[in-house]
Amino acid sequence: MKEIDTRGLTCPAPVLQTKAAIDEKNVAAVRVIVDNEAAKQNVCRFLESNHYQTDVKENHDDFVITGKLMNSSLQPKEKDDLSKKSDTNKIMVMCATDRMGFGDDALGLKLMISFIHTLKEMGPDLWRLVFVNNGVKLAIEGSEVLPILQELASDGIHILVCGTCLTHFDLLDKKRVGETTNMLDIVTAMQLADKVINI
Amino acid sequence: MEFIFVCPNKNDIFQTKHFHIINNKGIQIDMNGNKSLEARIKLDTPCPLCGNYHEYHANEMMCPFSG
Repeated sequence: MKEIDTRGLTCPAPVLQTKAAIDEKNVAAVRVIVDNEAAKQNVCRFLESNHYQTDVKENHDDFVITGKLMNSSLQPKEKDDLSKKSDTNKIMVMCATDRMGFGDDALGLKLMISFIHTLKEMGPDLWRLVFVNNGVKLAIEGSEVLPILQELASDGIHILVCGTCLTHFDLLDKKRVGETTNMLDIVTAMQLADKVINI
Repeated sequence: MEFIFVCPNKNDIFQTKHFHIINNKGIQIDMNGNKSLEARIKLDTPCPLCGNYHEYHANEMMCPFSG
């Protein structure tokens, strides 16, 4: 198994080192040691996008990521999801606020809670749920809609939560649902979606 | 997975996954103990903005994942 020690490197260097390792030859397994959460997530996402199944173990302050090349018959989860939904619309809902509309904050919160609860009525057309700016507060512990969001996530809806926004509000460790994401993911999702609904 | 690049001629960004790493000398440590990746990145397909096959130092790369 190819092993790479990227401790002390900042992104994207750990990802580039990982790419160099798997580009050298079609390695069946790779082990990458990183020393920060961002590098852990980034290397995992890179490996998964290249059809590697990842497993992460914490070792004191480090993370040891093991990536195993999946069988050729297996496709990344993303592709599976897309093919499953090829006969449906792909609707992306982007919430840039934790309130719906302007005027009365209490009413806006009520409406947003109702909106999130009602989203499941979209059925399989609901494809991505993206939270940015104040909207990330819906995905943290204590949020009134957290149980419904967790239910949606367990039903296979991809929930993306803006990492910059979580960091801005100092809520990174309070997130309880969804995948921490970035603008590239959001823009790519917009491009792939059949319809984008902005709240 | 696409990475973000800056076209040095158009001073604009583009995304591609078609690149490879060249002159990879691995991790280097400077006098202060800081680590960096000493490598260059070369496009496998022409830049969509100017048509050239740009090369970049690893330090010039933007992380496509950090939000």
